[in-house]
Amino acid sequence: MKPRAVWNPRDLLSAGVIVLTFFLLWELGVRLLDMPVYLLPAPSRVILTLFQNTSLYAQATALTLGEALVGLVLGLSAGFLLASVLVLRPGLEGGVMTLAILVKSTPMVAIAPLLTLWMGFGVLPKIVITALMTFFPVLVNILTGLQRTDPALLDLFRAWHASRWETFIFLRLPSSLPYLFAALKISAPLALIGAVVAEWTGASGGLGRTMWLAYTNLNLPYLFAAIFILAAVGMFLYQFLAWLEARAVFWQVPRQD
Amino acid sequence: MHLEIEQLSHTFAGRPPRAALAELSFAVPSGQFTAVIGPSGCGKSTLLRLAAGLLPVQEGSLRLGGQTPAQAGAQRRVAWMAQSPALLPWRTVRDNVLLALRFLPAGHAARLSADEALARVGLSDSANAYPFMLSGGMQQRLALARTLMLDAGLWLMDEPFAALDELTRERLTHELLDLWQAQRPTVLWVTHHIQEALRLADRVVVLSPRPARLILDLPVDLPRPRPESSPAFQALLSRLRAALGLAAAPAEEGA
Ligand SMILES: Nc1ncnc2c1ncn2[C@@H]1O[C@H](COP(=O)(O)OP(=O)(O)OP(=O)(O)O)[C@@H](O)[C@H]1O
Ligand SMILES: [Mg+2]
Repeated sequence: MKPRAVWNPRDLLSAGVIVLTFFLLWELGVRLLDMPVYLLPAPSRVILTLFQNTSLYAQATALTLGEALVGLVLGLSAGFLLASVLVLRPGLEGGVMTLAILVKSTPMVAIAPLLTLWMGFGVLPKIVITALMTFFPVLVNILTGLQRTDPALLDLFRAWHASRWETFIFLRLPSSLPYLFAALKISAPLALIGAVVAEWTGASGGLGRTMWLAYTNLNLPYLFAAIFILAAVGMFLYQFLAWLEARAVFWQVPRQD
Repeated sequence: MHLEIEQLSHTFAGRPPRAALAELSFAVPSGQFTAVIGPSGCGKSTLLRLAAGLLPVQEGSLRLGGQTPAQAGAQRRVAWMAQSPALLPWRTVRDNVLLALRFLPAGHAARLSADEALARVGLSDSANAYPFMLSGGMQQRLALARTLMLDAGLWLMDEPFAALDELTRERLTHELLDLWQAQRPTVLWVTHHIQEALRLADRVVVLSPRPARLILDLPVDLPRPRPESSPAFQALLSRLRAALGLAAAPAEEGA
């Protein structure tokens, strides 16, 4: 789980080459096979659509990203608080985890339209779905992190007669930081998906709404433009988290010789 | 603080159960420096963990100044140093030392300041470094500083010099004896280094392979510092080697 240096020139170059090759093959394939645009548009066409509708896409992206981030923060807070309670009061773990697994096993695709029905086309149902989707990975990861504290360090705190609360603040919490980032790196893309799925079931705006409109009109360049944006935003989020992780969990940086 | 160990047995549950200590008895008078030697896996760390209150006493009794380990520990009369350095990787060297003071109840003070303690083990230059930047021996010295600075009546030290080279060992031996002579705590010093035990301790207790029993209780009545070349030192050395089942030939290396 060592955070690697992100955005280093060599990785960036190889990633660029791979993505570019992929787009080139796609473009070539579409042109050579004379693929109709309602089945698969060429990437050049998609990017053109994107640039012709920048303000539309910018607005939709801002809305979806906003929903995703608010939901992520809520899911993160809830998962974190619950994990902390379970560590400080271990007796509760069995019951609460059963409930949490129940929530996790419920297909969100089925819940989303219900929430839209109850809460309307506004942002609220999107935020709820996103929070529900991110809550579980956060809970499980942070709980694991809080519980897998180095036994040697736990012994030390016991020998010092530190209280349960002091042990939590000074030992368990900082040692769970790598797990928090693992949770975030799983949850951030999930939050984005959650927001889009919720919008798909009915919304007044957002990338999911744009995609749904494009899909019903078989306007594939529009649809793919939204997909491109989602992929780019997801990747940016992930890289940002990796960058943050390398700074926050600095002690896991491998020793330099 | 005197230490009384009587008929102390300890068995780890499991399949099969593992006996670590078997009816171990010995007493350490207040202020005595006792080295504990025994083969790897015989139960030395278990003994220290029992005394530190980290394991419950199952059978027999263990009294620290007349108190149970839990009572003595709650009054911060015991300082325990683990076999692994057990450092907090997100805290600097100085902050690692300072943390030990945080949990002292009101009215308890440390014997040394953090910077003094670091100076004693030769880590002043690294006070602002993080543990992952230290070598194994430096990490061990940091753990040593953290333990020695506490004003405890009993030092439970689990192979504190194990990762150190001979030079550093020599230097720290002076520092340690200095501190010990100033404070006169009772010391239980686990080591697998026979010469080290003879250089430091008032007495060497030799344990058998697991489960640990007492096989030799050797007083070391030599004035410090103790040159290894002296005939008296060599005589004690061969007695220890014999008890541990090692060849009688005088050798350069440790266990
Ligand atoms: N938690 C545990 N569960 C089961 N067995 C254990 C446990 N801890 C220690 N033991 C066993 O008890 C015995 C004594 O262990 P201990 O750590 O006290 O040995 P030691 O004398 O300190 O060895 P070393 O010199 O290698 O540090 C060993 O055989 C070990 O396998
Ligand atoms: Mg040991």
